Amino acid sequence: MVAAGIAACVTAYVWPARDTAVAPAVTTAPDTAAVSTTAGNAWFSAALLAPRPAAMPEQEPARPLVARNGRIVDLNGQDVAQYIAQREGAARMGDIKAAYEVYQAEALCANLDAPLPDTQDAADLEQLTRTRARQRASCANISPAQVQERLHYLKLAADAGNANAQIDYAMEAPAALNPDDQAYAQWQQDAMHYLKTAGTHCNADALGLLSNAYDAGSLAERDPVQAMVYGIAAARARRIDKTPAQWVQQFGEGLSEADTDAALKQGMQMADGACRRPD
Amino acid sequence: MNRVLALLLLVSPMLAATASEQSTCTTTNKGAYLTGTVTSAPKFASGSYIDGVETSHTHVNLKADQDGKTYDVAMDNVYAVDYVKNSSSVPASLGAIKVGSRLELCGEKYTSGTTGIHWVHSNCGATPTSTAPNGWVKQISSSGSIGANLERSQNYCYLWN
Repeated sequence: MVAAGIAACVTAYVWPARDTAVAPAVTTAPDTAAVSTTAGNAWFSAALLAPRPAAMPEQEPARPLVARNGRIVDLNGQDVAQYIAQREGAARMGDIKAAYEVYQAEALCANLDAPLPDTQDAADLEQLTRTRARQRASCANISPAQVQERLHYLKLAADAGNANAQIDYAMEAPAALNPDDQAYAQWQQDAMHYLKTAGTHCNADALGLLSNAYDAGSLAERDPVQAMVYGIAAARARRIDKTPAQWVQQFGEGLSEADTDAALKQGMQMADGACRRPD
Repeated sequence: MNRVLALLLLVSPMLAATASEQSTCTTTNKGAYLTGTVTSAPKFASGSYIDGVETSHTHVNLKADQDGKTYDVAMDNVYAVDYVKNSSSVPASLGAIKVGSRLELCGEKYTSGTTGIHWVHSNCGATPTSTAPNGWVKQISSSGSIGANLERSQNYCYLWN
């Protein structure tokens, strides 16, 4: 864990972005490791100890395409229009898998106008710019109406119990709305509902997002106790097992003993209830 | 004389708080402790991917009170509570750091390539060591009060378990 943590911590600044992208290409494997934890360890250990090469390889792996929901998108070599065309009929007929896939593809086109960041490194910006150009090309034949309709398919899939859609709903904050707007409040409420629904089915990503939401006060009132409850539940949903004292050490900073005890108990119960496996 | 005494009374709790923070960082959390003034705006740095999650960073420069050196401060975006998975932008909470902001840091200093400090984040409940301290990034307000750790989220700790 230590070495891997160092890898994550140091990677992006000891080595500029083009150097860190030495991992296998990720565009063919949505939500799978571009660098496995083990591989990352091994690579990092060597990289940190060895002197930096004078020249980097010419072949630079492409950054993955990332949709507005934060997921890496793989369209199997098609552009978004082609990908949707094969699924839209089924999606319109209520096929939930197809609906989610149409949503996911259209979500790739929903953040094309997001400003590129100020970067630490010119090469990093160059690579981000190239990635954006690839993304734009993939979305060439997609209309603003199609980008907008993705939310219809997202809700369809979320209401049907698709856990990925339930999580993605929380990632799709309505950018055009003021946080004081009633519609924004409704989105917050719906996002919490979907995350909790996914959480009751032992979805660790949903439980983790709930922990952060309570910690940051982003989707609900800030509540450090609930942040601890969901933090423990998320970790246990990932089958991470610790002693009560270790849980308290990890999540209990700044909380009273009574709050910590209550959160510990509730977090354990939540995970045990949601993640009970058949005998 | 009275003004000096009043100033001392005003400043002494802050000094005590800072001393306590420093002790927690260096003794309990096994980190290197720095305070200072931010001299460059936050900038994004791409990272590698672990299990489909990009380990990007946000960087600022900080002129340290302790030695007057300028440190590159590397903050892992995944430890910000408002990190958006795989976003190519600086999390809002880290973007709120401005040139002139005062920061308190606990982490590990490094000198490879440049002078800097990293691991300024939670160590996910593991026993702290000097190379894996239980770190933090905290803003110091103009009144001297110290804010919450901006690098406290544990949502992505699983990536390293």
